[in-house]
Amino acid sequence: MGQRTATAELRKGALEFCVLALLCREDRYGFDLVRTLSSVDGLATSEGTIYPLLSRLKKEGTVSTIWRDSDTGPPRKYYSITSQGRLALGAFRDEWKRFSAALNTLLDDSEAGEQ
Amino acid sequence: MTKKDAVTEYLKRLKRVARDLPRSQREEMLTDIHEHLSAATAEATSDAAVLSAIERLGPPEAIVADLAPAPKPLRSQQLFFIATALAGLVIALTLQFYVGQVIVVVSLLLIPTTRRGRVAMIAVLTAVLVVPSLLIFSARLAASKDSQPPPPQFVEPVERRYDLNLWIGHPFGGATYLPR
Repeated sequence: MGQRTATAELRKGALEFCVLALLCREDRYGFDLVRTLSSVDGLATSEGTIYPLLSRLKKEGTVSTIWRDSDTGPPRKYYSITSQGRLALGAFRDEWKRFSAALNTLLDDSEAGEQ
Repeated sequence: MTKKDAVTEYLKRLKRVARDLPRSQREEMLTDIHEHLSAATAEATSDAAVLSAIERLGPPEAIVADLAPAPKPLRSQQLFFIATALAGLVIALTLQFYVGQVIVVVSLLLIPTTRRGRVAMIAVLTAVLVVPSLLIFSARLAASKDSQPPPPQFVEPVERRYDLNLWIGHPFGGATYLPR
């Protein structure tokens, strides 16, 4: 139970940076973004909860939105990363590299100790 | 259930669950989910695929909970403190003015609400308490410049009561006035 909660919290915390990372390459509309995220192994989450996250990121100014016409249907709301979002992503990327390296070392050591 | 029915039913449920969200936030979320389901329905080849898309969205409650992470104030508590504020008003008008006034102010401040609601409540109460007091104070100040104040032994009982009203009923104004 504790482990499941910790993993869920970790995933939830990292999700916003996954969104920013995806938007770094190209602008995406909601459905495309959500489907891409949910197809990444290990990130599986209720697709609906990504929309509140996008709404929060927009409010915080790390993403912006624009409506664009679609060839196959009604206009779509596209999300793009802002300069503030790029800064936040850069800071997280550096921190994550340090954090994951430290965690991997500790976990590898503990695994070796068990054997 | 056809795929159209399933989508309509999900959106209706979402709308119902989201009724307490701020209007702009609610409308944005409903538009996003509607767009998502339209795209999912367009690419779905069977009713089962649509049901699966709905399932992947998760329950409407989870979406709304993520939009409003702060715990919702309990309606029963809100009603209780509104009732005590009204009781305070009745007491103030019929029995004890000062006691009733204190009950009204305390009750209004204790009503569980959002942070913004509390700030608005404090702003309104401050305006109600301070503005009349400041107006009275400035009027008295202007009057006192025109005439010499009477010696303390000649202060009318009515005026003493008036000072007490300022001190207790309008604490901010009273505090400004009394040290004079």
